[in-house]
Amino acid sequence: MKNNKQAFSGLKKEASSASLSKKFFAVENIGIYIFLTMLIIFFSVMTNAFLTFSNFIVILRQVSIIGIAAFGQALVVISGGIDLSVGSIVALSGVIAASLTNFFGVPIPLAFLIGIMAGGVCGLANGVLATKVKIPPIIVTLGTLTIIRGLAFIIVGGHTVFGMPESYRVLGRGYVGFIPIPVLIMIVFFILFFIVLNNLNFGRHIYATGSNEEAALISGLNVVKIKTMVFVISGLMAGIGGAILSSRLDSGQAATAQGLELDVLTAVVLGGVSIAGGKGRLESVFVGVLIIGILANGMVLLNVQHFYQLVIKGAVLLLAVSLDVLKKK
Amino acid sequence: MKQDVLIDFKNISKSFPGVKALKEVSFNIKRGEVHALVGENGAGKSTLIKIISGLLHKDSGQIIINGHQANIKTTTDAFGLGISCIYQELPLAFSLSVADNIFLGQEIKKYGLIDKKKQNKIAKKYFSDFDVEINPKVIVGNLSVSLQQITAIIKAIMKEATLFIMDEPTAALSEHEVDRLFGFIKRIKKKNISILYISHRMDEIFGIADRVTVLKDGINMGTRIVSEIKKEDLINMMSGKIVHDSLSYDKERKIEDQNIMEIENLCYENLLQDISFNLKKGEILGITGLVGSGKTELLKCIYGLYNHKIGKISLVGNASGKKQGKEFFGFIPEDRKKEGLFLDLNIMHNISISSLKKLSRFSFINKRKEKNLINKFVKDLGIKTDTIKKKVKFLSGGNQQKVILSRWLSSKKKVLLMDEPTRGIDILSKAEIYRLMNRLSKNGISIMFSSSDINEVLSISDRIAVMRDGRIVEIFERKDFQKDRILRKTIMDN
Repeated sequence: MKNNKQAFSGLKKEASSASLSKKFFAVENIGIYIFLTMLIIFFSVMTNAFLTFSNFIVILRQVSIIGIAAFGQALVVISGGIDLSVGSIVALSGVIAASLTNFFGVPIPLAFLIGIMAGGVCGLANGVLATKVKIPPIIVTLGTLTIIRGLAFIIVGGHTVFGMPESYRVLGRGYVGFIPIPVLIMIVFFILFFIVLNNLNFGRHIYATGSNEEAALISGLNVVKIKTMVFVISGLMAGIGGAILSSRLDSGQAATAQGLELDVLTAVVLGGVSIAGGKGRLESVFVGVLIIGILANGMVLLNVQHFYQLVIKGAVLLLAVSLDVLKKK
Repeated sequence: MKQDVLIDFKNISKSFPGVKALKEVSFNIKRGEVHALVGENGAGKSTLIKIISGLLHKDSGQIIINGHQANIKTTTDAFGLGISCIYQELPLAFSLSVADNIFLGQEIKKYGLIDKKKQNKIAKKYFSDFDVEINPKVIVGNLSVSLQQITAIIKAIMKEATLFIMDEPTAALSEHEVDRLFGFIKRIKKKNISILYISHRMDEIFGIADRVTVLKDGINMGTRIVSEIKKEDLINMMSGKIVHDSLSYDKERKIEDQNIMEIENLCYENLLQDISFNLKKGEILGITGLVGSGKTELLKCIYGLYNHKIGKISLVGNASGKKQGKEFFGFIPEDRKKEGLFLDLNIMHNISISSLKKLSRFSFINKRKEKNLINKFVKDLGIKTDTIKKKVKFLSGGNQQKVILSRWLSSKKKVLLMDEPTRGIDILSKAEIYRLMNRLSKNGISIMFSSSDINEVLSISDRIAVMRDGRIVEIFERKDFQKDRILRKTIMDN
């Protein structure tokens, strides 16, 4: 149907350009690629500070935590679920790592690892509640969002944990060559998750489950395991994000990353992942992450006031998504 | 004579890129007439319905309603002209009562509040006008499907609908419910309401329709008065060639005298009672019975979707156990779209989903191997498509069924459990599915299939198990096949 329409619009033009434009528009989520380009051109024209290599690295570093969490979130949403608890998990993982380092003298890598594992445990709890107790994921994670945030506050008694050894900051602030470590981690996970979704059995199972859960069950897939696994993965990814953020802030704060889940979801939806499940590509999610980063960065460079930034951010989401909807018509 | 005609289609044409879906189709529907529209999948029926109901625009031609040229641009236009569609998804609010639904948007009010009492009274009267007894306070979601359809129709009649388009309305109905719906259709006919009736089921067309129009490849093959045409002639018109019923059973097949599955005293809640039988290698076992007799439940229970506590399913050449069961069976569900297909995924991914293990190494999918395998099946089973990357939602029912068949064939199952394998599939595709079933059983695959179509069961089964109230009441050998005896068994003993 979609191809037919494209072919049809192509017929009106000349034959040679028809095949080219068909190919061009056949790219999935072409809307956000166009939008990304427009955004880059706009900010480049408006301010000299935007289109520089160092600013590009800054943008990537700024979006790295959202990006890492968004890859995990993408798996959950493609499988037909949703994970609202990622912001709270980021905070929990951070306070655990900081507290273990500071109060118990746990070696730093191990402290981070335990923080990340805690994220995985939260994910497991989400998964079990969604699949075994059969509460809809949106409600499960709405509940755990509050619980996990509360746990983070309880652990630190409402205080900020600080005064860790200097090496605590390496994960969030260090560089390998000219590339910040968080950016490197994001890129590694992008490649990893890209392979999972496109080349592994598990990826295929995620798409199938999100597309039609009943059919997946009848096709012999272990739907419960698949749905639980994606929540665990999303929890682990948020845990990694939390470790990076805590290292970057050089502190453990229970109040960080509030509302981060919304930025993460925005990136995923911008990337054309269907909230109904079964659809979406990781490279588009990455573009969604970039759009969020570029927009935030560009608006700061242009001295746009914070309140206006909020309005523009929301409007951009609607605009970018509507480009794709219009294309389908 | 002119006043007789409600709607007149003149030279309706419609093209999609690369396909002429309708070529100058002309016919008319009279007032108070049930007009059947038949044709194979892809003949243009759906396109025509969509044009009438405003979902698609015709390229050329005229639609004349009541002598005036109609310009149907949207579904609202169609509704305004008195055209109403009864699809499988009914336009009802399922959590509201019958009366609430009937008066939705035009509630009767008293002091600004809804006058429920009056609504209930009037609703009851509407129904009894058509000899349907119903409590208007009942929640629509709790009604049987036929009563839901009747509610939707009455609601539309209140809004002065004069033409109903019914697309396979009996697909989800039991025999008793079909009778009720047909009775109702006969009564609304008397009120000068017309019906355009789309169905694959010959018996229904000969039971209810006044005239029938046959489409093939977008061309009107002719309109006939039903009482003046024979079933075979109609089928020939549809397919353009002769289809023999007897072709379906393949006498050359040899069933090995070796059981592949033995079932003893299987019970599941109150749905299945004390079921025992054997299935031989390469055998086709048909299961028939009324709606609710337990056919679907039996298949699902064997497949392992239900956790039975009593009884034993032994698989020969395979130690009994649930995990091994999964390796053993393929299940083809009755509701393809809901339980069988991943509509948004492409043909390749739909087929390979159950054999990924075999296609991958260290859980990495070998995409070239996958593509070759799927291409082989698409070619072998004759799935009509230009590419295996096409989403399955764009395939016809027959081709979709072949996709699900391919899924299990590619993962090499020993027993196929098929629930109503030809539901909603046109006659030619049906014949193809039968041929495939024969071929599979020749290759030593055993098939258990359920069907409420007695002719289908008679024509392709080696044995027929008749079910009633969750029990297998009798198993007939092929030499003992007698239509009336088997039919009677589905209802009562002896």
